[in-house]
Amino acid sequence: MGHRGMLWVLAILLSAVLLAGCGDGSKSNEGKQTTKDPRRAYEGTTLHVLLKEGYEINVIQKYVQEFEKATGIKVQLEVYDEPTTRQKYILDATSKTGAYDVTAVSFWYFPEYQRNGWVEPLDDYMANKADKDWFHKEDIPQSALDVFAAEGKHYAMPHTIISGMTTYRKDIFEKHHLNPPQTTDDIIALAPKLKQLEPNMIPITGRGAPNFASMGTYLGWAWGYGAQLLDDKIEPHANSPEMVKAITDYVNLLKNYGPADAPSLNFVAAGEKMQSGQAVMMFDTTGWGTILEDPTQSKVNGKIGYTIVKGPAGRPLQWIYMEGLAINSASKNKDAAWLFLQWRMSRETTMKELTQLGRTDVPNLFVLNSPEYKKFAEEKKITAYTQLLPEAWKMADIKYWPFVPEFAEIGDAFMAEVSAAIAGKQDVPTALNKAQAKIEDILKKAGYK
Amino acid sequence: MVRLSRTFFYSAIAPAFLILLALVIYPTYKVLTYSLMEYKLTKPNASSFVWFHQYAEAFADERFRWALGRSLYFALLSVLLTLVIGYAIAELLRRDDLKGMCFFRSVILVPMLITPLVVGAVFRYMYDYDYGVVNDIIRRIGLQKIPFLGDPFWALHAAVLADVWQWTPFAAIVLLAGLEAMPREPLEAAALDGAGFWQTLWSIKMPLLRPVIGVTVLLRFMDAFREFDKLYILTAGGPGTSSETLSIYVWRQAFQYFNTGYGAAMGVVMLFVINILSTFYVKLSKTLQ
Repeated sequence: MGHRGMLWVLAILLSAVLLAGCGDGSKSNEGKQTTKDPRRAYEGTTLHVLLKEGYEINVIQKYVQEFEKATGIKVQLEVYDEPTTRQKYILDATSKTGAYDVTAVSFWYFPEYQRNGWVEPLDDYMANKADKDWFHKEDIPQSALDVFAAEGKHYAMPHTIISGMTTYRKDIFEKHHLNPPQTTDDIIALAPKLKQLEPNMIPITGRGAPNFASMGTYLGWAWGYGAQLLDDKIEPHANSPEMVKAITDYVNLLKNYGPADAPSLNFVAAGEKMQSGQAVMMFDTTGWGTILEDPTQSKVNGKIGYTIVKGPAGRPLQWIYMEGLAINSASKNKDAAWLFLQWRMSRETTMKELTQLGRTDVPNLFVLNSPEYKKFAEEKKITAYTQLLPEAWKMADIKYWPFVPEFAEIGDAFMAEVSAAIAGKQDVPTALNKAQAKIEDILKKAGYK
Repeated sequence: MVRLSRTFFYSAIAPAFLILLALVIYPTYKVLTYSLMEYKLTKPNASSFVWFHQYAEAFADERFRWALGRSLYFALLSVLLTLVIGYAIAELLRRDDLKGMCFFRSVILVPMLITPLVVGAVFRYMYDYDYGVVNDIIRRIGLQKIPFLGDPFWALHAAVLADVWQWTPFAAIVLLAGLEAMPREPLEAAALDGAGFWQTLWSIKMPLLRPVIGVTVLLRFMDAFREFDKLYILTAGGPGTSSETLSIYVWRQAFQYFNTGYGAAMGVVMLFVINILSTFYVKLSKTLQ
């Protein structure tokens, strides 16, 4: 065989390698309605669903077979941590391969997904393709739907709705005849008292890790002081007088009355101090209610009190996190994907989430107002939490969040400086001046100025 | 001697070449190309060719220089400790007069078999200020507890210790092989001449072990310099940026902010640093020999 022959051998081998990657088990049945039952119209389709790990997906993982049985659609679930979920989806979306039909989308990534046209508008589906038993738009809190809306269109079904809440050890407060905190000043006054009264406990726990996932705590606390990181014109105010005052107060709380390892604590590690019974107060998300009241995960179930705290500006402290399920705009199985979204949001599925899996902050108003929910809360003795939950949701104000695609970079830059301030490496004004300079630079590079 | 036909030769190497092409040559070419472009994965249409601008930007970036320094410090400290402790363990494992050495020679490999991510997670619990076993021991012996992961000084050192725990067995096993392959005569002659422990160590064992030490240092340095998993799980680069190494910073830029071009440029710098230092070390070793 000469050179030409060799080229043929190489070409065949290369083709074999390339073609091996081209096969896809799934096939598009879009528009091929073969039966009269609309739920079975996409029988034989395989849906690829990309999910972010978290308690909101437990119901999908546990009961997805019921969806498959009802529709004949096969569902392939892929579950990753948040950065990996985003990386996987961005690679798919930018190459427009449609490898995933459905994706989880955190609210903070939504502007990026929507502006790049990576997610499908759902308004037409909601108006014209609703399954009468599975989909009731009025069940979904409108404010949550609107978080995933832009230019008058809605893009995701919110299956996680989280806002800010302060938790405290009811038993410790009762023991020392202390009143639950109503304001940030109350928390600041209570921390030294608790240190004195309970020297073996941590008066307050909270996040301090140098990444954007901790930023919500600080910006949410600062919102109560009238501070906002990015204004409507996308101008940064990391070192405004209100921000300096707010962050100084919170950093001092953690430095003087928080866990010794506060600068490294993330969501899980900060909450563990509460779960294990070491900490007395924590300002974080409403999501903790489900965890702290679960005896399999918490040593303090039944001992927790809940409150909504306001700052000196009269605004409630914020901590918003929303996550939705969206359809990939490059998906070849959009109608089947819409069926899946409806099943996930249905009363039937959400009720199972409550009764079988014990999730209390379910994203369905019908279930939240049902006798089953009331009975569940009374049985578990968590009415204090369940009664406050709708109020916390109502007080959520998305404006506190830097709603730009560059938020992760901004959040990391902000938290790197704040985390160093908690660790005592620098004072808060210095930290915030540095953060301001970095954020200005990030925004400039992104083309905002 | 059987002579292979050209066709057979090329057919035999073709699969390996294709794999190399797909997994090494092409990705390296792409990384080099991206490093010369201002390219953001989320805005692929807005990319432009900027020559070496990203490299200049990296060296002007204070955080990049800091991260580079942290990587070097982490790698050098980890390699040094691994080598010293590894040598001590190798000497112990070599002794025939101690019972159970066979068992320990097997058990010592366990840390190396654990995924770095798991090592990071386990050490995170061990270092916990309130209920970690390390602080529990410190408290029991009457010392002040240490916020290992919340203190800018301790955070990186705590990660170094976790790395040393995982990779000391590697150094110990390689050095043990070196010690066992060592000729007996020089050691016996030194003993007859009345040479002490340190004299034997420095004048006889170290020169004879130099090639083995060279390989250990080289492999460990390359590994420690690009360490990511344990550090990210333990400290995520914090507090502040006190333990942010180059791997973490590159990961943030390339995979969290999707600044693909900038991340690629920093990745290339990382590759060059490893390459230059390794070449320098190999040349230095040869000169000393």
